[in-house]
Amino acid sequence: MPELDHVFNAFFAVLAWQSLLAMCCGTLIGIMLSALPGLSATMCIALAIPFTYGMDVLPALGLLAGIHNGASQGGAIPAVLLRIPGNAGSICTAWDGYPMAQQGNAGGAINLAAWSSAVGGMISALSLVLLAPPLAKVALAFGPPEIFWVNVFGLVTISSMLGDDVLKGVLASCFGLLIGTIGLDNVSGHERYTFDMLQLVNGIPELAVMVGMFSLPPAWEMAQQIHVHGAKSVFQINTDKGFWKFSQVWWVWIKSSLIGIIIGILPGSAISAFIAYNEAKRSSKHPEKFGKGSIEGLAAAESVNNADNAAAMIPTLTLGVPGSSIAALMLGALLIQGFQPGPQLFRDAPEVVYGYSWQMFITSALLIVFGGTIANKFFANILRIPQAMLLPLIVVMVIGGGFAAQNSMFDVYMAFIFGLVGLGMVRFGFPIAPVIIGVVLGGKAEFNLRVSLLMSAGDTSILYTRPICIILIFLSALLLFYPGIRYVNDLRKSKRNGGREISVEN
Amino acid sequence: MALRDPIAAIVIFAFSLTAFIMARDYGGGAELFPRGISAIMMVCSVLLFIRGIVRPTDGERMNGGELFRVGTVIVGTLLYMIGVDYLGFVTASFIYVPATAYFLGIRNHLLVWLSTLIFVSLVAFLFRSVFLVPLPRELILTFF
Repeated sequence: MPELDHVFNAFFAVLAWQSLLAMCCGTLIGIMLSALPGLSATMCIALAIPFTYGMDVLPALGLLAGIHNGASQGGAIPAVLLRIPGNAGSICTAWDGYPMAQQGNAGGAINLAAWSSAVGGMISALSLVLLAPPLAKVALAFGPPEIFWVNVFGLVTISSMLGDDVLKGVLASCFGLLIGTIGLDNVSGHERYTFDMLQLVNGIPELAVMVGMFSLPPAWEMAQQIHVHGAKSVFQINTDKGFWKFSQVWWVWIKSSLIGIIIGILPGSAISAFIAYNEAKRSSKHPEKFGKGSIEGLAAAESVNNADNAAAMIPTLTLGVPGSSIAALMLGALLIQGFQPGPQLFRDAPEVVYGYSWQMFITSALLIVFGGTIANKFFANILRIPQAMLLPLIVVMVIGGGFAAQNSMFDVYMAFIFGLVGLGMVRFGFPIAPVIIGVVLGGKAEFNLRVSLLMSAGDTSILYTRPICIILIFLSALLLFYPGIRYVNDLRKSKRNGGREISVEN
Repeated sequence: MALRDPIAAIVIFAFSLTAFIMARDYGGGAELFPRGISAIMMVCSVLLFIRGIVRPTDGERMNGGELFRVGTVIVGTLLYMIGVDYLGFVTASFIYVPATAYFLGIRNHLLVWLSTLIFVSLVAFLFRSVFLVPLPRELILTFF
């Protein structure tokens, strides 16, 4: 446990007006910027770091903490209003947030997303204050074989949870993994599936796949719906915040936040949102509502999304090992300010490390005001625009965002191709999310697999003899075969009941 | 389209077989992962084919009008991208947004042009001035 006087001193230090102003500005900037698809939290922080050169350390970190939390929550706004996830973590948000918006609860959905993000962020920040050193030891127990199985577990989770069709989920995941192998092999240096195209040497850009597959098919399909609804807006605007109650979501918030913290400290883990969403669905009394505007689904997706923000900083601050691209940027920001992240940071500059933790806590709380009340008033009105007008505006936003990531028209054309693939997949009943996760996790999974085999000089037993690996293999197998087991059980029950009540079709 | 799963299975099998054969030439262990993944995809596509034959499923169909509208919007998106590349982001957007809105049935000229003006200007300003991202050059400016 940390020394409490350092924790309290840091708390009062971050309440100085310069620090408070920086946190407010950062949170607001993060929300506003990340509401544009294609502008990630990483990009926002990278743009902000040069502005922190001349600032004192706490206001500088406060600005970055605000942008970090604000940008994570801001991605929920296009996810809820337009079904365009601003980042990978917002994919699950779109599943329930967008149906809520369609049902006329856009304002309430944004408000719930803001509250969920705030609670997840605050719980995560408290874990950073109180549990950083012991939690960092957990991260140290995960070597390449364990991280490989964490990635496999994430893929299996996403494949098995989306709908009832595990087979199509697995195929979609594999397609994503295969797309992820395009480009230069990190270990051997061989080019794979590049067709001698220079642009493909660095692989297919994740953003192009995500923006193309998630944003373009729904935009194009709007053209089909316009026939039914005419050229006017189909959504009823209702900014009623009272359609959800604390009693419905508090337990989901706590569970999802804990999942976000545990998975967030592992390097390269982009799967916490899917695992938390799956767990919320599994334990819900109304799992059938998930994907159709479930309050619990949205609460789980958003709380876990912000819960891994501070958690991802735990290995960065305690060990100097960044677990995510944002953590790497924050490490750079600390180095610029003259601090060396690692175990000595807690001893040499406790006011900085605990101050930053409190700033993560306060900026999370600010999300309720900025991400809920204010964003609700401004952004929910987007749905007043008729769909026939909204469609080309979405495409303009997608093209602009796709180009901005790497200043490349190649990415834009890639987004179009993946948009076509996504549309085809939707029409043929394949889920899209596993493709994205496959692309995101594929490179990491392969790298850790290859490094594991190098560590053991080609002996594959390293993958299935370590205790954490065994647990992860067991959990993955259980998730993969659970629908089959349930189907057999239902079949038995139905035979006993005279051929009725088969709940699972696949 | 009751045979949608078998059709999808055939496409996936052909895709993964191609990927499997292409990966044969990669050395130094670079072939392992893509070959393993494409092998799993081939097995799954065979299972999908068999399941699709035994238990056919049907999806939502588009009528002729819907197909025409969706198809035109997709072609319009492609033309817009080419326009962005050659004419510039702002110019192409000022052509694409109103054209699509009118095609989809909006007849309120003020809404169309005001929305286009505000939205495109805002996006261009944010990218150019705030994020310092140089959007594709406007062809029209090269004449001045």
